[in-house]
Amino acid sequence: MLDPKQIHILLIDDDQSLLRLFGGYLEKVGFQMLYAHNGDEGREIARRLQPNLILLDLTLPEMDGYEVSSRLKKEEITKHIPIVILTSADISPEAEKLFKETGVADYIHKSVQSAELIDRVKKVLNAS
Amino acid sequence: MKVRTRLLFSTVFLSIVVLLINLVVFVSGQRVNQANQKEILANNIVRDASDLNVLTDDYLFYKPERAKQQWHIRYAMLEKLINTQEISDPQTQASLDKIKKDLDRSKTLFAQLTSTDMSQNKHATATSEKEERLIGQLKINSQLVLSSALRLSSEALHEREVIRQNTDLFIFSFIFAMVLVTLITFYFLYRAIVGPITNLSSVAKQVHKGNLSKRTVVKARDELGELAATFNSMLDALEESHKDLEKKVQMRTKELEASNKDLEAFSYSVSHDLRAPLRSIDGFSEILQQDYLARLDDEGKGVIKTIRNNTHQMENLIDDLLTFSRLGRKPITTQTVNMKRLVHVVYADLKKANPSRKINFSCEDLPTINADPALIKQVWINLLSNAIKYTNKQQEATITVGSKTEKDKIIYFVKDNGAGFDMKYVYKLFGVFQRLHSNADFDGTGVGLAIVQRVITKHGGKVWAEGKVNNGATFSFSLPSDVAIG
Repeated sequence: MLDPKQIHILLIDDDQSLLRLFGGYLEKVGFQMLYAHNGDEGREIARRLQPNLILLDLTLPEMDGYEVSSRLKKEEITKHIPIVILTSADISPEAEKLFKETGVADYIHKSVQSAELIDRVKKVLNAS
Repeated sequence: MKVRTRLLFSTVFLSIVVLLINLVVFVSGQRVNQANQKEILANNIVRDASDLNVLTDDYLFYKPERAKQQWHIRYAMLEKLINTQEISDPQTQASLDKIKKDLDRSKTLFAQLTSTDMSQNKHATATSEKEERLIGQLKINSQLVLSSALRLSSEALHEREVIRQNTDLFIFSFIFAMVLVTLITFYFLYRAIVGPITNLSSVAKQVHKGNLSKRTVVKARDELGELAATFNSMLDALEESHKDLEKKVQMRTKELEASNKDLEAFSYSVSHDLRAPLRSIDGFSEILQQDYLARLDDEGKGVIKTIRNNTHQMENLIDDLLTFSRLGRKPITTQTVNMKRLVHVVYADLKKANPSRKINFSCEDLPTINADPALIKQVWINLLSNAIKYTNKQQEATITVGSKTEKDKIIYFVKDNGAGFDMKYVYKLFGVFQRLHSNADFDGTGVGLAIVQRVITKHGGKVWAEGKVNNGATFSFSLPSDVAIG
């Protein structure tokens, strides 16, 4: 089993309270959290600090989640990092298709409860 | 020519013909009368002249004084008869004059004869020759009178016959002319009236069918021509206002569609943007509840609980709103839905969420129907969860699901013995955010029945409700049965 203390997770969201909330859930079980407020900041941190997983909000200012994820996947230095999308919208079949095309590992609705969030993050980490 | 003029003309003509016929009948009646009088006169003269002949013979044989007196009396009567006649016809007057002259001669002869007789005894032989001659002349004269009178009679007969024939001819010709003119007048009237009316009626039929572009033919310059022209201009106005109306309806529809879309986009994005901060409120209050509860006093604990309850209420509200606005955007896709099975599945799910409730649930056989399964499922979820919710204060809840098949639709209903409602406010039931009960009594968002109405309306059906305060409620919806199977 993986040791959470060795795992770095980058959470990208423009909503400060959500960063604190979801970050709080994951820190509580021992993950090392990194935070970014927009796509550029997130990509910079990903390149430099090489997190084990990126949690990416879909509705970001300037560059939205789809674009951030596709750029990350195009860059040699970041393309191996699994990405999990966070969204508050209902996930339509079209969105699902888009996620698959951009190589997203999973997508999670923001109404998710803490236990399920941790569960699904762990699942993605185990698979990578 | 105007129809009125034609009608006037034919009426006047026919009246004149009828008047003429009457006149002819009257005049010929007068003339027949005259001929009859002439005949009667002639016959009387014949009778009296014959009497005079008989009396002459009587006198010649027996020579009585009585016969002589009677002869004079008869002669006076005959003379009076002839003299009192007022005759306008000159031919008849001439005949009468001749008769009178002959009669005068007869009187003179008869007087000579009787005077001869008085001296008969003295000169018997000398007078007999003269007497013979007188008698002969008298007889010839009498015969002349008689034959004149007979001729007069036959003349009268002939005249009457001629008048009758002429009258018949006149009347026949007039009637013939009348029939001819009537036929011709009616033929033209028929052409002037029936043709345009048939035209008008066929165009009116087209208009009735919704074709406003047809026009009737305007040929005649009479009243019907005027009517046809007015009819056409009326159609012009109608067509124009119809087009105008159609344009307006199209415009309004577009406006409505646009504002509907705006509204849906608005409600979607609002609900959407509300969700994220709500998630934070819920998450942090949850953390407070889980990790910091020991440090809070009882009031603080109560406050946290209230925050979380309200957060969940708002989450439900947003979910319902999202569902409601999604309904407007999504077209329905129908397939056969086994309503009975669907009701049982939905009820089982709802019962699982309320395991402590005791409910007498029964569901009749329900006909299957063609509908959007996901949407119809939502309808049953909303109606049955309402029924379960509003019966929770009942010792023993009873919920019945049934259906009724009508001519062109199927009605499904959910009946409960719960809190019911005041029929005064029934119109509010299906509106968005409309609630007839407070959240303290029964929680809810006020969107559930609006969703039901929207789904059913989209399927071409109707929803309605009946209820009584504290005496249960029945919610019904109909679906057109042309989409029903079995």
